[in-house]
Amino acid sequence: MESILSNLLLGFQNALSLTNLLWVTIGSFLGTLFGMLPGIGPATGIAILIPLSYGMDPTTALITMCAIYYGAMFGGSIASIMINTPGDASAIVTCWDGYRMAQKGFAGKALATSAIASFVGGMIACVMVVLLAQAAASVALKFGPAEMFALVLFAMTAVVTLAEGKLLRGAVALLIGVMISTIGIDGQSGVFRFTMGIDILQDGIEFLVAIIGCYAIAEVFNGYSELNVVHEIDVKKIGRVMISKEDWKQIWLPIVRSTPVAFFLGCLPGVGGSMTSLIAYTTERQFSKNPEDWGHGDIVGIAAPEAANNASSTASIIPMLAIGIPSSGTTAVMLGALMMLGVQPGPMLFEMRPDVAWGVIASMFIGNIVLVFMNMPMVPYIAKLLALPQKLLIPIIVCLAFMGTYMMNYSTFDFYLLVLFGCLGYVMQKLDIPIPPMVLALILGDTMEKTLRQALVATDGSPAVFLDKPIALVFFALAALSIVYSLYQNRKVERKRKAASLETA
Amino acid sequence: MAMTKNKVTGVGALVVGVLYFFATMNVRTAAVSDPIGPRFFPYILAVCMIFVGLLLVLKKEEVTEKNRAVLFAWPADKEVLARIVYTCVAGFGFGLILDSLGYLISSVLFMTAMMFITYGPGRSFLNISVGLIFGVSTYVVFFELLQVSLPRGILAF
Amino acid sequence: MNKLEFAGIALLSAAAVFSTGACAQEWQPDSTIEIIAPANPGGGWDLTARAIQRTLTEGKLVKKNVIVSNKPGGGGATGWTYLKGKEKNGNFLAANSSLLLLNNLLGSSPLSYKDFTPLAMLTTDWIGIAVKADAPYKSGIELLEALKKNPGALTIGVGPAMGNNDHLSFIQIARKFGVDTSKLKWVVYEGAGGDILMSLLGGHIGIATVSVPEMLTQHKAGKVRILGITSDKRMELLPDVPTWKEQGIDIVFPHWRGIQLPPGMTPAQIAYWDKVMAEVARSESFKKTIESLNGQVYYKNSAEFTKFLEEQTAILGPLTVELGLVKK
Repeated sequence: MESILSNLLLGFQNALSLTNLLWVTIGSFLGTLFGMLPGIGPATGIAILIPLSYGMDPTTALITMCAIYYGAMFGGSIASIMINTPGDASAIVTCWDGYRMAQKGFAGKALATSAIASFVGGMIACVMVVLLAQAAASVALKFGPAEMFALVLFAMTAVVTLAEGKLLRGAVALLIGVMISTIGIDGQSGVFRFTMGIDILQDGIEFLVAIIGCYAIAEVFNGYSELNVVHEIDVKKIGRVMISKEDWKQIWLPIVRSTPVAFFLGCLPGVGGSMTSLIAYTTERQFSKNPEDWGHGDIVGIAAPEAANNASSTASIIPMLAIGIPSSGTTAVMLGALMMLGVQPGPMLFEMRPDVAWGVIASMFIGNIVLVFMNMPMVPYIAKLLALPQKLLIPIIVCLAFMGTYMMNYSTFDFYLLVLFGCLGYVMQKLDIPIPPMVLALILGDTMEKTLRQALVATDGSPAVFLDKPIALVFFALAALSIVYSLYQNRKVERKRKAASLETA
Repeated sequence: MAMTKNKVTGVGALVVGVLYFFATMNVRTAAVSDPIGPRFFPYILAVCMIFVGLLLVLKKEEVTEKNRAVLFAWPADKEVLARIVYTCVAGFGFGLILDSLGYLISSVLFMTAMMFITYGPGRSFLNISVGLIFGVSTYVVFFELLQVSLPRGILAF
Repeated sequence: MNKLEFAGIALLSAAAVFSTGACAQEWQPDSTIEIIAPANPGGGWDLTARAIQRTLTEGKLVKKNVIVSNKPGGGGATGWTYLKGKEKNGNFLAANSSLLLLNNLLGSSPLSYKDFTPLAMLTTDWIGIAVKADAPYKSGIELLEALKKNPGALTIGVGPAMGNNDHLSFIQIARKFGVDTSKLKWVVYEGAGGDILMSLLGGHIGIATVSVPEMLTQHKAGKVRILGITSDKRMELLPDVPTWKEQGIDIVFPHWRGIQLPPGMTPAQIAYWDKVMAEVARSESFKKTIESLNGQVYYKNSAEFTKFLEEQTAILGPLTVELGLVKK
């Protein structure tokens, strides 16, 4: 314990230089700015800013990258809340309650909740990093394809629980999502599937494009029917950033509950903020006393996923630092940039260059704090942007959405996809088909099929491979529970609805 | 049979399921592959989709006075649909011209087009100037300041 | 001949000499130089392109600005198609690798090296076959013996797709030893190389065939054991790891990266870039950058590179057909 503390102090000493603090601030700011653009997440943000890091000392470079990472996550949340467009996949869940709350006029409160929950979640995760870095890394190793499949299956069943009362339509959405995820080259066999002769589809459909289309563009289409309606927006209320004592009482426990789980999941390769925020959301909803309010602006619905995704992104840096293996696209970019600077992350990092390793951890603390103090004052101004007339906001949002999409893959084909998904999202809304299952199935479907097939190679296709993997079995059990629960809930809601319609008939 | 949301969705699901099933039959198999192969999973998906579609179509529903919400209807206002169509066309157009005309010109055109859709043809001056401002400022910020590679198209810089 | 005629002829000859002199004048890039990395930032091509950019800029080897643009997609196809469209324009370059050959041979892409002007091979990595440190195989030969007896004994992790360098080199080595490669069990990992390593460390796969830089830290930390590498001589970074050649299997398989120009280049343009790239390959800063990525500088100029590509196509073509990897 003592050596950990002394190492941490060493790290803080390193990190707290004036240059580093300056760069942390710049990084947070730029990261937030980039994160707000639909489709530009931390990975693209860091990649764009790599050239800036050429002359830097490795610790400074890494600190800046962490700041950008956190900033982008917060920026993504801002976009989710303000324009129902997640900045990247980990911010999708925030859209559900965050946007609704903003629509009700409480944008400032939503933003503040997001910032504070992210901060608390991030800080708890930082502490956990300090204490558990090595241990967490070894847990991550226990997750092979079989365990990942079970985990993803569980996440999929958790998604289905969100479609209360419309289970069948939710299933349709889920299936569409998985079907879309199968488009492209099949990794295990090298065969093309459903590419219809279009070369670009070989790489499949980027889920972020589908998300921006279904959320942002479809929302714009919705907005067309209310273009001439003047909204009574209480500008003062929007900007109010305070979280009342009652609010805090509601959210502190969910935050503390969601963070550790998200932390462990975040260490696993391939598990991103999207899965952890989803699991946090659905779990906390079941603990909540008023689950019907969720999806309509419940404050815990923002706090839990936000804490979770910050915790998991903090945790995802661990495999990169401690083992030298990146667990996500963003950390892969960071790894490459670090190596170009002459630092070799991995088991030797903590021994050979503890100044860098602990400097990073210290800078995660600092980055978190700087972000909150810098961004909170900006929140009222950002929130007031909503007061701009819809007619002006819509073109800006659409243009930014297209731009952000372009910067993902530099492909104009994605524009056509945006339009298509916009129409799809609009039609789905008109048919009352829930969109979240489709979106999440799109992200997870790919992984689900992949891991299943990877797991079955060892036994030539026999499901017996799962029998001696306890972690996988646990998640299967959880998945089964999830399905049973959602069937039960669905029955309840449908009965209620029938009763209500018969009552007043 | 009333046009409820469930029925329409059900029919849609059936169509998609069947199409996907046939498409899966056309997927090649590879000589070197894992024991499951590329078609197994899609077949399961297609079957599930058809199953769910049937359930939705055959579901018993009563359309009562209170229940109107389950009916499926397009928005009554034709203008809304028109705006949606224009937006789609603009989006497609943007995709077509971006690489050839370059970012600066395309974005100005696109933004202006969007403004025309929301503000209408009556406010041409506003529409065009916002288009110009937006296009130029984003170009400066991204291309010059941040060195993001944007298509140059026909412009020399 | 009178004085006037003599003067006229002299003037004409002088003009002729000057104009040919002007034609033989060197070509220079006339606008911003764009190096295309046909992949997302952070990957091998991107890092190589940026290393080149850095060397060019810091060493002031060219007079114009150099930018790197990312054009991911189709295993390189998007970026290369873009380059192909810049025919005759010497201001554009693109990073390439054996994927250019393999995509074409496997039938995934109609583009081949013949659609471009190969300029230089610049770096190479080598490919290693590794097992977990506590596995009972202490040498490459022991592992191959086990596979010969039972090809399905261990699962082999490869990525991001079948038919790539890591896959083909493994097959070549195994075959040379007499293993029945059609019965091998392959697990394909599509993501960043990290997934394979993590699976190996966690005991979820038995063998990994991956490029050496990705395994270096783990090997040095004693977590995995690299049993053999595909280089022609031992690497400085790994003095304790024998090459396959040393172990009696004569296979040398470089995982190379290079750079190419659009089609339709004039000799003057090629000469210019050959000169510049030779300087890049010689420069200390380039060497340092590449070595920090655990790679090795390995230079071939445009003529040598073109010949190499022809030879590789002749070897790999029949192999991919034989293995049934070619898509029709």
